[in-house]
This record gives sequence, C-alpha cells and structure tokens, in this order.
Amino acid sequence: MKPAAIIMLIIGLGLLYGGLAWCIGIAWYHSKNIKKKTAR
Amino acid sequence: MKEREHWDSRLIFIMAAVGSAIGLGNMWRFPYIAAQNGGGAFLIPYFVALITAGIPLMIIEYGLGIRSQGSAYIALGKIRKPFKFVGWAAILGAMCINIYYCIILGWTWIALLDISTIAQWGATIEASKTHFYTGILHLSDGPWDFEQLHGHLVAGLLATWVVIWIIIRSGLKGIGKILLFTVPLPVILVLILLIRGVTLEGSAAGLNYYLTPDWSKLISPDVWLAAYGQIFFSLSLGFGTMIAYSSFMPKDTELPNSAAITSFSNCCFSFLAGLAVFSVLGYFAVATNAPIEKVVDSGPGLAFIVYPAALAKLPVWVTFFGGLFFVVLLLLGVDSAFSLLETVAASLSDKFSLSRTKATTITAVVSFLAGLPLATSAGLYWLDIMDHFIMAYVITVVAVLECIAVGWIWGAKNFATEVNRTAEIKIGPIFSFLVKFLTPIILSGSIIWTFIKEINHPYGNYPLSAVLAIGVGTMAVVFIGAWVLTSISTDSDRDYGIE
Repeated sequence: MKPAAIIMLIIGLGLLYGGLAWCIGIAWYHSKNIKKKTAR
Repeated sequence: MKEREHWDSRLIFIMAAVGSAIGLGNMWRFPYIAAQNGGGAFLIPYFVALITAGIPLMIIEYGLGIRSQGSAYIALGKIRKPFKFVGWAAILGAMCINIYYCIILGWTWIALLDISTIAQWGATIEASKTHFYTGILHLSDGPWDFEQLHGHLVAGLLATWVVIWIIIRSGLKGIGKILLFTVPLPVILVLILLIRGVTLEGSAAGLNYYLTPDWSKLISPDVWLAAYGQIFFSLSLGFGTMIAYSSFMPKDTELPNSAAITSFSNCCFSFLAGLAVFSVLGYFAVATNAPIEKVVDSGPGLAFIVYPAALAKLPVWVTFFGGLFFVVLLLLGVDSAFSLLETVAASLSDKFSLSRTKATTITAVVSFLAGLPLATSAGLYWLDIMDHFIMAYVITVVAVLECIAVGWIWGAKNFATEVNRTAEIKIGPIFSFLVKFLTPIILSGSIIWTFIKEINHPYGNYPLSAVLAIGVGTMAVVFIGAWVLTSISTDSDRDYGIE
C-alpha cells in the first residue's frame, strides 16, 4: 500500500474508532460513578 | 392511554438504533462515495459532518422521542400542533422507504438461494449482469414496461415481510433478543471478508484507490455536500425511527453520549465495510487485468454484480464467501427494515390505540401490497425514482423542519437545559448554533441544489411522465396521507395533549 493510504487508514481508524472508544469510555466511567454513589 | 413498552436496557436501545442506522448503504454506498470524493481525504469532511450534523440531529431525535414518550407525530405535535403533519410525513416516508427496501432484501434471498452456482453466474461482470438484470429482475426497457408480476420476486418480498412482521410482533423483549444476534454478527462476518480480502494478491490496489487522499477535492462544495448527505442518510435521520425507538426509553435516559455512540458505531462500520469491499475489488481488478476504476460501482450494481463477480474469482471457498456476503446484506437490511416497520406500526398503535399485533399486521399487509409493482419487470426503475424523491425531498424537508421545531420553537437553549440534566456529555452554545443555523442551512441548500438540477434535467434521464407519476406521485401520497392523518382526531390525541 502507498504510505499516504496507510496514513489515512490510521487517521480513519483513529478518528472513528478513537471517537467511539472515547464515548464508550465516558459511558463506562459514569456507570461506575453512579454505582459508587448508589452504594454510598 | 396504553402503558408504553420499554427496552430492557440502554445497551439494547443503542443496539437497536445502531442496527437501524447500519444498513445496506453502509456496505454499498459509503465506500463508493468516499473513493469518488477524494479517497482518504473524504474522511475529513465526513468526520466534520458527523460531529456538526449527524450527532446533533441524532440528539434532537432522541430528545423528541424520550420527552414525548410517543411516535414522531406526537413528539413534534407537542412542540406545536401543526408540526404533527411533519411527524406523519416522516412516518409515511419511512413506510415508503420500507416498501422498496424490502424488495432489495427479496433480491438478496434469491441471490442467496442461487449461491451454489455463483462460480458460473459470477464468472465475468457480463455474466453477473445477466444474472442480476435478467435472471433476478427480468428488467424491462423502462418504468412503464411492467411485463408481468414475477413469482420469485413476490416470494422474496413476502419472505422479507413475514420475517420482519414476526420480529416486530414479538415485542420489544423479542426484538432485544434478536438484536443481540443481528447487530454484532454482520460486523464479525465483514471482518472475515476483510481478512480474506487483505490476504489476496492485489488487495493493495483497491485499498490505495479507497484511501489515497486527493486533497484538491476538499475545495469542492460537492464533496462537502456528499459528506453531509452520506452522514444524514446513513444515520436513518428524518424517518421518525430514532424518535420511535427512543420513545421506548424512560424520561431520565442519557442522550448526547448515547447519540454519539450510535453515530460513531455507524461510521466505524462504514469505514470497515469500505476496507472489505475495496480489498476484494483490488484483487478482482488485478485478477482480470482491469483498471480498478472500471470495476468500482455502488448500490445494487456493487452488491449484485461486481462484488459477486469478484468473489467468484477467489481461488478457493467461492460459495462460502459468496454466501457469507449475501448473509451480511440480509442481516444489515433486516435490522433496518424492522425498525422502519416498527416506526409505522408504533405510530398507528399510538394514534388509534391498536394492539401491537394489529398495527404491525395492517402496516405489513398494506406495505407488501404497495410493493407489488416493484416485483414486476419495471421494479428497479420504480425503486430508483421512489428512493430519490423520498430521500432528497421528503426526508430532508422533515429534518429541516425538525431543526426549526427544536432550535427555534422549543428553543435550542431550553432543549439543551432539559437534556443536560442527565447528560454524560453536556451540550451548549455550539449545539444551539449547529441546530439553529448550520444543519438546516446545509440541508436546505442540498434540497435547493437538487431541485435546480432537476428542473433542467429530469432525475436519472427517466421520461418526465415517470418522474412526475412515480416520484412526485409518491411525495403527494406521503403529504396527502400526512394531512389526512393529522386531520383525524382520536382519543389518544386528547390523552397526549395534541388534539
């Protein structure tokens, strides 16, 4: 593959999958916090 | 007022929304649009469109559904009563989309039944074209040349309606169980196709075509419009589906992050599908000694002609990978089709206090009968014209009016305040700007642009009579139907406070 195509592959994966992972991470963090608050 | 069903969990709700958003378009439209509009460089406008239009519109639709605990016409009618009309236009638009979407799934069943002979009918692109246009569609010369109703197409259409009727009739609990299977499985199967694709000689040629950036394209407004169009249409926005699905969640449900997860999941799948499609097409181009531009296609041409021909050239396991590809199409399509059926059935159920079974059965029977012209030799032309007019005009107008209803009448600030009470990601002035200005302006621009183009040249070079009767006729049916349903007053309207 051409280097430019490889770079765009990485950027695409980073933007889209990184974005998805970030959102799931936030949801996970909040669910943990709610559980902690409920336990208290 | 009946007690409303609820999804079992937020996860199931998001899976349902993701299943609805991810459809055939992710597999057969995104890769082509990306490659034609700057390759890897297209990712930039695509990502910008996702953040500035896709996610805000998704938040609006989730907000409308959760706040109203009702279908699109209730959600919009609660903002201002005349907006019930917009809700019904979205719902009837969804019904029209499902009418032609199900015939595509019908073709997929037929192709799947033929899979044992894919090596013969997919031996060349010409053979594959003959198989699709003559063997499956029996395509005639024009939209008024119906020839006859084809038994195998009617059977494929009926099979699709029976499957989605059974799923929707099973209620939200049943749908939730099915989603656990139909949402992750296509991802796994596409990953298998991708692994097969990238291990083939020549796959790099396809991936280079898909991903090599052409930065000069970014100055073209057409590329940006294509990115916004792709995001908007692939997220199932403006159909009333996301409103209906979110109305089955409790009022304290988190919105912005759920909308972002749904939207990102949809785009991640599109990107992945592009890799699977182009790796195999690259191999096909090298194997047949043809330039990659010559073998690239989109829509039914990609799914039923080029891709099967490419798979038929695989060194081993041709039938297995051919079957796997059509199973992916079926799984992707079924989720979207039953979400569209649910949108209409839930609305009828809300309006006329019908049971789920009765509302689903009425919708399925009427839609099946309305889809019969698509099972004739002129079906592909009808599908193409209906699809264009519903998507380019009805659905886009609905989305613009949703933005106006929420951004200007409800008030983007009031909406944000309500949403932020349970939000994991807070929305604020940027959201207000996007919903009040940017998104409606871009969508309106797209409608005006398409309209101007079609004043000079009727869509798709079809005869003007066909464009008017099928395209404008479908829009007229939607708008007149929406007006009639808005005019009918029921007890349920009084209960929801939208009489």
